[in-house]
Amino acid sequence: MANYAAFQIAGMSVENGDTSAAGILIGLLMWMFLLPEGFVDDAAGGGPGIVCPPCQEWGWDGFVFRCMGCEADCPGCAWCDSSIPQCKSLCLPSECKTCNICVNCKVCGNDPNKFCCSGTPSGHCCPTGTTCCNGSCCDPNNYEICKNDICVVAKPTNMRQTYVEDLGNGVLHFVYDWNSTTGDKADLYNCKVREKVDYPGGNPYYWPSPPWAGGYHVDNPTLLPNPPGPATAGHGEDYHSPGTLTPPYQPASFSATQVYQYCGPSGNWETLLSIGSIQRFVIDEGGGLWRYSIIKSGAYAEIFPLP
Amino acid sequence: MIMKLKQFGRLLTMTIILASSIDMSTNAYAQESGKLLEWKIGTSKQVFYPGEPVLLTLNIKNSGTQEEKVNFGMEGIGAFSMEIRDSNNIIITKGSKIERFGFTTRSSFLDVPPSKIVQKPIVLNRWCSTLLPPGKYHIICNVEYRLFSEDQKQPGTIVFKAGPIHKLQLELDIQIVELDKMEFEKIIESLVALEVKPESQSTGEWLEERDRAREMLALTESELAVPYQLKLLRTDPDTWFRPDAINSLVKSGTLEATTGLMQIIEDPSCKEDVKHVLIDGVYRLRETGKPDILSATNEFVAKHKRPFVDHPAVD
Repeated sequence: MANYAAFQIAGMSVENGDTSAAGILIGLLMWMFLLPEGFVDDAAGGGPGIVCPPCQEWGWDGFVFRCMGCEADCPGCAWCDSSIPQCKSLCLPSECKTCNICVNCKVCGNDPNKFCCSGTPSGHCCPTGTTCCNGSCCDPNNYEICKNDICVVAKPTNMRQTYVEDLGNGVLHFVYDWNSTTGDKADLYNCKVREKVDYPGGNPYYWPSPPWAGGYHVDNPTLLPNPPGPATAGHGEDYHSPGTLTPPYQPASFSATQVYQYCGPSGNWETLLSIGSIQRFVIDEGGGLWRYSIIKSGAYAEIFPLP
Repeated sequence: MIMKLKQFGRLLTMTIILASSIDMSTNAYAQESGKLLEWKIGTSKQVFYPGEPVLLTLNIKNSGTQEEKVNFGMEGIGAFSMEIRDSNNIIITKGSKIERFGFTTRSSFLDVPPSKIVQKPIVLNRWCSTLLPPGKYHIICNVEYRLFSEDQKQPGTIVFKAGPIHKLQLELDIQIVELDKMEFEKIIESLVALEVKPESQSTGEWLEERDRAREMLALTESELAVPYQLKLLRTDPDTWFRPDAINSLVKSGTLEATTGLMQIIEDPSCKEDVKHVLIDGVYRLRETGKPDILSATNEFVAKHKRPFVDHPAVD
């Protein structure tokens, strides 16, 4: 017990942030003199199929005096626990609480796809790809972020049209805002937003010609912006062009389907706001006059007469 | 003695006035007055190296009593067109208005509260190259903006009719001097340094500054910026300034840019949609016809077909 206590003093002086040389030295000296040779800990030295030997090589790792040779001497072994001065099989979940000072603890519970996550009251093993949040694992693929030491879901929500204007020349300009499920748009740093517009037919989609210029085409689906925009903006705008119309005109119409989407690190795009159709028409008004019109979300713009 | 003190006071006042006027000229201010909005344009310095990004800052003062919302068009840059003229007033380079239809998270609007001055930074190189021979140049920044307050609701609909377009011309002078590679490197490094958040700065402020620095870095027209532009594409392939960085790399016409782009593409972590535009960048670099670039990319082009990336955005 005295050995443990002495060692813990050395370890604790680091763990508690007391990195004074004196504190470390006192702890170290106590540990060196009190620790008998060939010390073997009952709880140590054995993960499944691995017997880890007593440490052969000690040294300073930053302010931590620890076994430096565990992995080199015995693959699969590491110095994981400040209270047990011996190489051990790689950290077990129950030992994760000490991983904040166990610099060699690269894997958790013998699972290379997990890492130790310290926390209060105790830590856990977290799967790779998650983030450690005071002992809990936040999964960014589920839009989880660590906020005030708690995993919370941060997704864009309540996207809504706040303004629409006719800019003239058949251009419609929409303005949208959205919120974050956390109430703070800054929390949406893992999320991107974009639009997806599907046109009828293949990719690229060639607009009917005439009346549109021959060869006038767009990506189908159109995914903009490219790259997708940061959801933290909480604000988006959409400009709809009449395209390139050239005489002689001919009646034509087509409809595209639009949706605004968001996505997190998983790369799966989800619907934020479904718009429905964007309709465009070129109509013969008689007397040699032609009208271009666009309708989206009940808003309308036109060019009349077409030049 | 009293007279001497008075004289000294006058001298001091004169010195201060003189110093202020010198400061104004080095800040390269220009001014245009509108109805309630007063516009000024400036740069933080007057002397630049060829290819260096020139950050223009518009200072807009609202002398009215109501908040004004200025609409700068698509992505907040659609309102601008630029010209660079030489000392004989001959147009050297011109950049027309940028139209980007479709969805964006960049706002067209800038709120200008009453009795306040608000800044709008734009990078000249987006419109005009600064790869110019040493000399004095005159920049003309044309602005065609609308005011939100002048929009009118159309009766019986949810749609507003946009107000009139206001046009103004802001002018300032800059000087391009011989390239000093070491100094230029320092300028680039100072932009790169903003990738790290200073502890004293709030995240919001830092992100704004970092984005401005990224934009300037992405628009830097120099082979000295190539490694940093490649790094930007590697570390944040979804950066807003990806197209600008690729364009600048293509413009550099260097083997370093070519191999760098190919390395990013071949990295297994490179996403398909990103690959698409990077591959096009490699093909554009081949268009330089440089033998070293052609031989370095022969195998690459046999493996990667050129994608179509020039489709216009409409919705």
